[in-house]
Amino acid sequence: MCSQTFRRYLLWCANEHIEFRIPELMSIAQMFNIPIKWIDKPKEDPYVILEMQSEDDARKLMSRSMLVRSCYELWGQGDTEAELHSNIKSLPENLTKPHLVHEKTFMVRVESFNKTLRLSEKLKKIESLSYLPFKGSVNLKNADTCLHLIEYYGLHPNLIPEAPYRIFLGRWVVEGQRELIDKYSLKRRTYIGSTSMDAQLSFIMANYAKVQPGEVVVDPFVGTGSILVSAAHCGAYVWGWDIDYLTLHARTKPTRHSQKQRTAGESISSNLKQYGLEHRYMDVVVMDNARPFWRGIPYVDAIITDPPYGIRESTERVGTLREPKSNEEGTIQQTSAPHFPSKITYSLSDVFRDLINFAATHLVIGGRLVFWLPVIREDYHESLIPSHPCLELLFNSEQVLTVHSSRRLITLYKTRHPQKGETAIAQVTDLTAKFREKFFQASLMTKEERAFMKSRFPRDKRGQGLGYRLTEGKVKVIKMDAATM
Amino acid sequence: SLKPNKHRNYEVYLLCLSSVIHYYFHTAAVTVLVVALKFHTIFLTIIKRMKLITHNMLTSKGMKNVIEGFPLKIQAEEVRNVDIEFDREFISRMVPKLDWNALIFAAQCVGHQEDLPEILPEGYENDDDLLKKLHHILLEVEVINGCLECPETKRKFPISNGIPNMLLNEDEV
Repeated sequence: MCSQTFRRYLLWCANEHIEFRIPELMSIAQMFNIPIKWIDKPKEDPYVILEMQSEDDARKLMSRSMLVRSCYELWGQGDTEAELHSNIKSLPENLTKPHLVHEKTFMVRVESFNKTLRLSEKLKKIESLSYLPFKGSVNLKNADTCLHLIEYYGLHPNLIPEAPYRIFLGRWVVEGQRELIDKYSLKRRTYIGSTSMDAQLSFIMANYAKVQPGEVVVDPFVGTGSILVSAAHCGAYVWGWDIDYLTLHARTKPTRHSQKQRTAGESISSNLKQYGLEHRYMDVVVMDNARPFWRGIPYVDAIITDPPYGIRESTERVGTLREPKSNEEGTIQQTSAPHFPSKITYSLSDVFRDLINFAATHLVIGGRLVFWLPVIREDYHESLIPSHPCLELLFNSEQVLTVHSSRRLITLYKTRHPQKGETAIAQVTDLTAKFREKFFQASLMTKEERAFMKSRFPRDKRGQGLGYRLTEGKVKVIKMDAATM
Repeated sequence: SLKPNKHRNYEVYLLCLSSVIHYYFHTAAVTVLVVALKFHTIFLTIIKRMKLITHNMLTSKGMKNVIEGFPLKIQAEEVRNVDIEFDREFISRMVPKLDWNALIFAAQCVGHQEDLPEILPEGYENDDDLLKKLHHILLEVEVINGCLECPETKRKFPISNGIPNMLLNEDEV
């Protein structure tokens, strides 16, 4: 038995949703049973270095990755050009030689992150690689071997250093799945609403849930079905339900600026049909999660959903605060015309409690529940995540929404079936109530207080929160640190 | 002389005829075009419907005073057949989750009794014939309009556009 050698790969990542990067890769690796050795996991820099056993594994990993742009077989890296070249020269020949043989065409591309290099500079750098045993001919359009020399100049467009922080040489292997973001863009979706999840995040959710072909995926707060589309693309058969009759029948007011009326062709099933996925669409049902009508057997492989936060959509459940009228004839009410039952407010904690209970009874063992949890950043603590004795916490990734609030993508998986009496625990603050409070408070804050709040929760140049908190009052200089594993 | 006159009449006659045809043909074409444009979205609409596989998972047990609540009775006004790719992996995985008697009952309700066996036989994973029949019943027979009826309270849950409405009214909660 030959020992399994690990090869080193550089994954160049998208510069967004940073907190989701590693969990997504871990989840995909678990899905395909790919053993991974983590070498470098920087906190902010847009790359990851890891070791895998074969190029096949790398391709499998990239076949689902939304946050990695490209995967390269790492030939060398260094803080300076000298270090890079000595690193490359120390590589075993059997790694590099087979790709530079006479029969294979090659090309070398110089890429710089956060700086533009002149063509003359790029050519000089390519020439510095001439010690490599290039035997084949150059093909700039469609080479067999594409070598990329990547120079990393940090993340601040205003603080570009003279020399790069780090340089890498890699052989391009395969791209990630970021082309799906445009293919499934909401801009061209037939039926959208104000709560539709964007394509990138819904694919990330499907990856967190390890959706595989032939599985059953459900969404108890389906809305316009945007999450189901991604699950269906990954091969799952999908069900969805919602308490909102109008949204399921596509009779709500259109949210597109130019659209005055809903057309007859809009529906959740039309969203799936648009991408050729209609054969995976099972059904949608108008149903109240507080009173589900599903048989109590575990038939679901994954629940992927975005429950209401209490801000734009009011959380609701069927009920009445009035005393029930006594019916003299005792006849059962027949519904001929659609009757929209009046709804009472249903606290956000109840929403999550019902969701977790549903997951505990209806997931198969090992099945996953992936959902967004609205969070007040100041008050957040891990113990506030809704829980159940049968569900274990796997991932917890934050996406910052405003200075005060964020949402966390929580992944729970089912370890065993619930016993009698076991129930969910959920204590979720309603963002509506807090939001109103903070909104009005914000206008009363002084300039100094506002600046202090802003410095506590920093944002990058696009206004996106960086997902971590600075220590009280101090500003951390962002430098290239060696990653902590 | 006579010939030129004949010709002239013939010409006039042809002109009238052609203009009449042109007039009618023209409007017909325009009408067809207008009708097509207005209603093409409806023609292209997927007529929405409920599948029997969903019925197999639904129960009214959560209602007040209901003990079993399963299976619900299907009263279908419109049923149709569609063509869905056969996925043998998926069907074999679903079989252990199905309630077989409820499936037979549902097939009867929509008039698609077929020749499903009374009891699920052993070794169904290898019986391609059975799996294909199951696939047809579960995924290819669709209820467009009608309702689902609770076996105990007789409460009807309407299906419109293929979407069952399982919401209870305020006084039933």
